[in-house]
Amino acid sequence: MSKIRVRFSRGEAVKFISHLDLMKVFERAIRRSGLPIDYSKGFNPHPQMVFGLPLPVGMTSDCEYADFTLAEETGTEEFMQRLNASLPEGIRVTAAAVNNSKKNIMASIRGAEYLLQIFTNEVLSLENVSAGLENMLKCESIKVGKESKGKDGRRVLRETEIRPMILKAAIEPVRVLPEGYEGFGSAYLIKAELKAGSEANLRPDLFLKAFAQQLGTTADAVRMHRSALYSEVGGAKADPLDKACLS
Amino acid sequence: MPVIIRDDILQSVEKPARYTGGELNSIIKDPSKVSIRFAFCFPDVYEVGMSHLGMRILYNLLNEREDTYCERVFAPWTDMEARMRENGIPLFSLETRQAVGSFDFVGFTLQYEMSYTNILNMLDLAGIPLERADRGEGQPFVCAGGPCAYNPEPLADFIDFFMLGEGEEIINEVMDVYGEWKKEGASREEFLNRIVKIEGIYVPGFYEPKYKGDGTLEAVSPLKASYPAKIRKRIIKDLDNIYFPEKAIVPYINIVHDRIMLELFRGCTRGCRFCQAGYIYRPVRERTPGKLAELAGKLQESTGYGEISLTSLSTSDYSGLPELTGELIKEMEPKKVNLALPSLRIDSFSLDLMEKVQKVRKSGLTFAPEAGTQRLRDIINKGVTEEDLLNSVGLAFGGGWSGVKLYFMIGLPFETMEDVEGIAKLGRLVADEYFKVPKEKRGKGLEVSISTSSFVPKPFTPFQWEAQDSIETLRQKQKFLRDKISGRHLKYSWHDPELSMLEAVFARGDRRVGRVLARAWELGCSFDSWGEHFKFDVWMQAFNDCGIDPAFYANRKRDPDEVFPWDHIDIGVTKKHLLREYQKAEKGEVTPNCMTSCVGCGATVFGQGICSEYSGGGRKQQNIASDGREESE
Repeated sequence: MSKIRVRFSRGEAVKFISHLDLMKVFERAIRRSGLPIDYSKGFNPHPQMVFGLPLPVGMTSDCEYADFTLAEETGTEEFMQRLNASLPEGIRVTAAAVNNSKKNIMASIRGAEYLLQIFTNEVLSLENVSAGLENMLKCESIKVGKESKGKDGRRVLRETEIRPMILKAAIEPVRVLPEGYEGFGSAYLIKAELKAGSEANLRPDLFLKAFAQQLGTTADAVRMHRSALYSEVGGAKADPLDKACLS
Repeated sequence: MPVIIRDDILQSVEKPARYTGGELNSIIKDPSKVSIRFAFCFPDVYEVGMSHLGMRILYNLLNEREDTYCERVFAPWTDMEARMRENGIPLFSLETRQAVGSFDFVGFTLQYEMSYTNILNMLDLAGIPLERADRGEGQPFVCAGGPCAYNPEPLADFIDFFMLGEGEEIINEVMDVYGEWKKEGASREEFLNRIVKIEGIYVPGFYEPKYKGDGTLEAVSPLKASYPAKIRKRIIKDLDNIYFPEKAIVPYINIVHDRIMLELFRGCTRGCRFCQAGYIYRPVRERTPGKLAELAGKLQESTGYGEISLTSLSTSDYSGLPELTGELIKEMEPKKVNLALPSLRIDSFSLDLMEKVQKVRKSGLTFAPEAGTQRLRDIINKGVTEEDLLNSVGLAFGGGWSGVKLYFMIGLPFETMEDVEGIAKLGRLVADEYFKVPKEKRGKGLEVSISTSSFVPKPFTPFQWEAQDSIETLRQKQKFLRDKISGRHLKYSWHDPELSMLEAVFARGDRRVGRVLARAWELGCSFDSWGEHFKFDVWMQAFNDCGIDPAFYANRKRDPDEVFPWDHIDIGVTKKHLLREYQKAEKGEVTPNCMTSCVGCGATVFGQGICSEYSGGGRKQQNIASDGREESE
């Protein structure tokens, strides 16, 4: 029995696939590849894989993580190469390492970095949006309405405190407009570092909602990308493929 | 040029992956390197269309051609359609995301009548004139095929040509002619002139219907003597050697049939008198178990699916079933791949098989007695007795199953209220079987779900002459059953009779009902088979606006010698045979299935499949039919 942790990217072609559907993509890719994945015991055996933080639908990423348990020892290079040969376009394993840690990836994630492009019909000046972001970060408390399912299944809005989950944020103009977005009044790129994982998690759309409240205007379109996920070792940020995280 | 769809549009709709393509095994070609571009359109949402095996076969088959690029197109759901119209986005293909209006062919598969408004809607979204008469040089040819194409007349004003029967050969012949025609730069009319010579091609513009004073048809006649007076469907002779894709697209999102579909055979030997599929796909032709096992292996490797479904009209009738399932279990079990066995008759063999292969909870088994009394089951030639059914459910309950679904039809020809009541009685008898099984052997929580659909008379069946019950009568029968089916283990559900009535109109409609279709679409109808979008009163307004009475099509009993809108289509089975079956039905006489003896339905004209076993002497004729086939009808 051996465990391998991989980093993989998700491109434009596969960004509208839900987390659940992504797991099926991997399950089928593994089956096609013939890699010796370990199956759970029981009536309905499932392949033993654990994914890091689910990627919101519509977002691209170059830093997704997953742990696989293998029934037979398999080299990381071979694993990566065979899995990539079976994965559909748009999903690429970019790194793999032997994983001896007891803690699975899902439980290890602590933070994430996002690149958030926001487009508004209204023309907004850089001074205006920069000041807005700065003022927002100065606040000790930021509350936004978070939609969640109530007991009776109906959607309810709950006020949520998000300030402690915003670690860093900066804004700049979008330099190269993506095709189809030329008609907007303004286009800005926010780089945000937010708490992520099972302990505290701030979804970027909620962060953008707070920013919109601050500016008094909402984005008419957004494009979102996850540029990093990290865990912590001894209170410091660490890459999930870092030796310290794998032992 | 690809159509650009911004993220905010996709983010704002349900299941955006319906529109983004890029699935494993989807085919990517450089459009500039092909001379023929074919948009294969399924007039329903992605999840429904991707579950259709015929589309998958023809998609791969067309893409085998170097000169052709076939891409998939589905009906955008209403939310996406609204965003597309707001943003001026035309109907686009999934593979290259290019406008469908710029393709050479726009082909629709006709699986059910209630998808017809979606066809018009998709043409409109593509910017293609709805009526074929309004299309000019340089615009795509709009073609159609599939089971509903056997009565092409309701769509005759919208479709440039129909392909009748199984598509694997005919579609290639059409592409060959098109390639030549395109090189020459000849006229639109000239292309149609050339393909009308291909067997199985129906060009509605070359035919004209004439009506009698009473509104019934006099004839649908060719405008020139050189056009065939009767258009015969095409069939594939040798299923083992005809193309079947070894790769299948694996969708990212859940689709209705999210598994490998392995087609065991085509056709059905049973001859149930209400069932159109049982007649239009004749004669029965099988693939061999060896070929199927080979295909299953290749498909499993190329898709990674965890389930293989054996598909056919009646899986238990497949002669190689024990051999095939034995082989598949051996191959697939170590790979953790399950077998799904739909449309299996329940007997000790199949229960044993299901024990072995299906890793599912023993919750539900489905049975389709179709009618509540033996008298009516004989009328419809459903070769199932009450004893068969009770034996089967008894076996199932004894094997641990505790949920049973029973499918029936109401409004069948010659039905009495006694037959309707028989449905409730049979439901109770099924429940009684459960309690006969010792407590420790049976599963917990008995549930017998009885469901009735409303009979829709279909072309090319012995009941094509019959009237459908009125909506009121169907409602009364449903109400009657609601009162009769009681007890905590029995559940009853039923279908909207309004939808069944419209199905009846378009199943047997002539060219005139096309106007109603166009009007209903104009008034906002689409996705009619989806309850939440079905607007019956709007449909009634459309009939009213066109001065067409739906009852003329749905609720009128036809004379034996009435000319039908589909009489110029030849499926092999003769009208004479169907009439004979209709008369036997009235007398409650049953007809043996093709495996027992040949009843001379006319499908022997193809000289294939089970028919050739009779003529070739392999199968012993017990009951030689006297009149065979008559070409002149």
